[in-house]
Amino acid sequence: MPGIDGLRQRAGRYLPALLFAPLLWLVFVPVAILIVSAFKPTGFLFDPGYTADHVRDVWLTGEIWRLIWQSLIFAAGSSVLALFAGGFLAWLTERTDVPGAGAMRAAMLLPMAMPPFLLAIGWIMLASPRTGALNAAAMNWFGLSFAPFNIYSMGGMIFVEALALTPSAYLIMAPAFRMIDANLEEAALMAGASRWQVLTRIILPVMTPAIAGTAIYLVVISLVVFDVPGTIGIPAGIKLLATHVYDLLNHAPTGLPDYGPIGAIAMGMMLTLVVLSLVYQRMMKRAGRFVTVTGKASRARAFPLGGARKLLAWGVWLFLAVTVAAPLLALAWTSLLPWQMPLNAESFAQFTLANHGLFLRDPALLKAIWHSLVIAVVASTFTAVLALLTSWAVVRAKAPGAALMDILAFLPLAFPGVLIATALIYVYLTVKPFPVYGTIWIITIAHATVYLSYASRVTNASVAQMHPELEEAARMNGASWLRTMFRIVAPLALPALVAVWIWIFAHSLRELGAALILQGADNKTVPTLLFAYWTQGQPTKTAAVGVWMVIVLVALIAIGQGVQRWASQRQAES
Amino acid sequence: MTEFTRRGVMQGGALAGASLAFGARPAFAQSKELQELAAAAAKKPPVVWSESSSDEQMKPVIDAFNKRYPDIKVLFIRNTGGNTLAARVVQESQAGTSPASLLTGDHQQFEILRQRGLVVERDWKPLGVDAAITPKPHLIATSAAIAVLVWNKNKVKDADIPRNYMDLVDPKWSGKVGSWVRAPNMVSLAKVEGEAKIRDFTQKLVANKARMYDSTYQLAQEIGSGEIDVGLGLYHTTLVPLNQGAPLAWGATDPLGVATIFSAVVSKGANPEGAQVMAAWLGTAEGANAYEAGTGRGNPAVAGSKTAEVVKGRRTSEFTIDETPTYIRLLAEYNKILSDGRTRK
Repeated sequence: MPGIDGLRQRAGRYLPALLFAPLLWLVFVPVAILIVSAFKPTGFLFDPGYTADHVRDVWLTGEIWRLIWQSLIFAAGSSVLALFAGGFLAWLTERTDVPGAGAMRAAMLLPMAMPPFLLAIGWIMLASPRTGALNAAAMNWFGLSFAPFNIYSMGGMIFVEALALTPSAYLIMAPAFRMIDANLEEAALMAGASRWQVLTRIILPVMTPAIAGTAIYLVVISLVVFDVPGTIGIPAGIKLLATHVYDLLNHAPTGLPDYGPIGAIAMGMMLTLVVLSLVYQRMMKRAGRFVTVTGKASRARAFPLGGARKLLAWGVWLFLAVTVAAPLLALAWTSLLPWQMPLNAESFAQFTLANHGLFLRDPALLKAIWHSLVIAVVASTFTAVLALLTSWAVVRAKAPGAALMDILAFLPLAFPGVLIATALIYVYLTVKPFPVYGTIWIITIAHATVYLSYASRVTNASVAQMHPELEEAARMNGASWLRTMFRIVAPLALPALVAVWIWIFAHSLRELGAALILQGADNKTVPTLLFAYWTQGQPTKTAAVGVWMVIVLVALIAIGQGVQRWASQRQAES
Repeated sequence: MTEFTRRGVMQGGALAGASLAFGARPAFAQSKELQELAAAAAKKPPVVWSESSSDEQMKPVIDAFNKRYPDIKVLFIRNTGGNTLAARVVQESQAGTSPASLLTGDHQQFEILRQRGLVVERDWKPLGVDAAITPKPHLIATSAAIAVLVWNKNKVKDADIPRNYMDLVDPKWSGKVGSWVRAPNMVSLAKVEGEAKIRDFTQKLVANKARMYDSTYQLAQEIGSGEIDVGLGLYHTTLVPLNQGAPLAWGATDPLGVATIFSAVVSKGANPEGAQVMAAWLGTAEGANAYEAGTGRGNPAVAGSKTAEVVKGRRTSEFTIDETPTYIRLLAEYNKILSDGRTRK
C-alpha cells in the first residue's frame, strides 16, 4: 500500500492533468482571446493583420500612468480599510469572547446582499453634498453652514468600496481564524506569553497566508471593479483605470468598442496578477509554518476582552448599522418615492407603493428570478468543487505545473467581468458543439470563471492549514485517494467550501456586467432588469427592485449561514 | 433665439433637412415591393431587432408593427447603451452565426458595417420611404436626440434661468451644473457654433465644476432632486422625471443640437426582408409615432410628433453623414475634455 508520498505521486500525476482541462478552457482561452485582440489592428479576433500599436499607444503615454496612480490610491485605500475592518471583525467573532458573536457572523454577511452599485446609490442618497440626508441632518442639528460629507470625492469612493469589500475580507479570514490550532496558543500561554504576545507572535503569523491572500485579492479586485468608480467617480470627475476601460468599451467615438487598447490594458493587468500570484505562492511554500489543523483534538480558547467586551460589541453593531442599515433604509425610502428627491419630511408625504406594485406585476420577473437562481446555484457549486480540487493539487500535492495551475485559477481576477464576457462571446460563437451562446449557461460559465479567483484563495488558505498527517492516517488505513478527499479533505474544508458557495451564490445573483454583455433573447437575470430600470431614468423603481433583491438575498444568505454553522459544528465534533 | 432660418436647415443634418418634405407625406402607404417583401418575411424566422431601449419600451412598438404586419414575427434583444451593436454584428458574422437583422443607433456604427459589406444598401423609395430621411442607402432616420437646457424650478429663480448653453459656465452655477459625460451634444452644437467656441464652452463647463453623468436620464433625475440646479441634457430623457412630477423645466438652446438616430438592415441577419419592412414602417408617421410613444425618442421629420414640435421654428445644428470623420474627431476630443478634465488637474 503506498504511503502519503505514493498518494501524492499518483494524485499529483493525474489530478493536474484532469484539472488543467477545465482551467485552460475557463481561463486560458478567454484570456488568450483578449491578448490576441490587443495585437489586432481593429481589435477584432478574426480580422487580418497584427500590430503592436495598441500596446505601444497604451503603455507609452502618460495618461495610463496617471490613471494607474489614481487607481492605486483608490485600491490601496479601500483595501487597507476593508482588510482592517474584515480582519478585526473576523478576529473578534472567531477568537474572542465578544458577546453576540453568532449574530455578528450572520450580520457580517448582510452587506453582501447589497450589490455595490446599489450600495453606492444608497450612499449618494445619504451623503451627496446638497441633498444627502446625513448632510441635511448634520447641518440642521449642528447649525453647520457647509455639508460635512461629500460622497462625490476620492474619500467617498474609498469608503463605499471598502464597505463593499469588507464582507469578502471577513469571509476569507474568518474560517482561517477559526481553524487556528488552539494548542499553539496553549503552548505560548504555558510558556508565559501574554495575550498580546499570543496575538502578535502566534495568531498573526499563523494567519499570514490568509491575510496575504486577502490583501492581494482586495487590491486587485478594487483595481478592476467598476460599480463604485462608475456610480460615484464619473459624476465626481474622478477617472480610474476601470472607468477608462468602460469608456473604451462603451464610449469610443468611432462607435466600435476599442478592443485593441482594452486588450493592451488587460495584458498589463495580467502581468501584474502573475507577479502577485508568484509572490503569493512563495509565501505559501512556507506553508509548513501555517499548518494548524492536525489530527490532535484542540479547542480554541477565546481571547478575553475584559472590560472592552461590551464596548467592542456596541462598536460592531454601530458599524453594521451605519454601513448596512443606513444605505438600505435610504434605498427603501427612495423606493417609496414617485421620483428622486431628498430624503426629508416633504418626501415622506409623497410615499407611494407604485414602484413596488409595478415591479411585482412585471411578467419578466418570475423568469428572471428563475434564471438568476439556476445560474447562481450551478456556478457556485461547480466553482467551489473546482477550487477545492485545484487547491489540493497546488498546495498539498505540489504537482508538476501546480504554480501554473494556481496562476490560472487566480488570473480571472485581473479582468473585469465585462472583458471575460466579451471573450466568451467569441469562444461560444465559434465552438459549435457547445450551443450556449445567448443562454443562461454562457452567463454561468462567465460567473464560474470570474469567481474562481476568490474561491481558490479561500480554499488555498484552508488546505494550507490542514496537516498532511490526517490524509496520511486515512491512507494508512487503506482509504483510496477519492475516499480520502471525501472523508477527510472535504469535511475539513467544509466551512470554507460553504463560505465560498455562499459568497459566489450571492455575487452571482447580483452580478451585472457580464450578464449585460451576454444578454440574449432568453437569459435575462434580476440585475439586468434592475439595470433596465436604472438606465431608463427610474431610480425609484431601481430602488424598489434593489430592496426586494436584498430581502431575498438576505433570506438565502441566512439559510446558507445555517448550513455553514452546521458544517462547522460537524467539523468540531469530528 | 428660436427663429427658424433657412441657414439652419441647410447646415443641419439629415433630419433637419427632412422635416419639411416628410411632413407632407401621407401617414402610411404600401407599395407592391413592400407587400412582396412582407410576404417573403412572413416565411422566415423572426426579425431580431436590437437597440438600446428596454423590452418594456419596445413592446408597444412591436405590438403596433404587428397590427400592421401580423405575419412578421419580431424578437427584440436589448443592447444596453447601444454601443456594441456593430461589434456584436461583426463578431457574429465572423463566427458564421446569424446576427440581428435590424439595428437602431448611431450612424458611425453603421458606417463600419457598411465598409464591411454587412448592411443592406438600397433605394428605399419603392418601399414608400421619403428620400429625405434616407441620406445614405443604408440609413433610415428613425428618431433623434435633442440637446436641451434643464433646470430645477424650485432652485432656479426666473431671472436666473439659463437662456443658452453659454450661461451654464457662469460662476454662479459652479458645482451646481451637470452634463452628460459624453459629448454628442457639444459636437452637434459645433456644426453651427464652430469647433473653437464649443471647445472653449466644454473646457469652461468642466472648470465650473460640472457634475458629469454617465446617462442623461440620471442627469435629469439629479436636477429634479435638487442635487444640482441646471444642466445640458436631452429632451427625451428630461421628460421621464418631468412626467413623474419632478420640479423640472427645459428650454431649447440656440442653435438646437440634434443627433439623428438611424436604423440599418443587416444583410447577414436571418430575416433582412422583414427588417426592411420594419425599417420602412418606422419611417412612416404610424411607425414613428409608435416609436416615440414607446421610447420617448421622436422623429422630428414626422409632422405632428412631439419632437417635431420641439424642433419646429428653431435653428438646428447637426453634422451631415458625409462629415462623419469631423464628427468622430470632435467627439473624441470633447469626450476627453469631459471625462478627463478634472482628473488631469
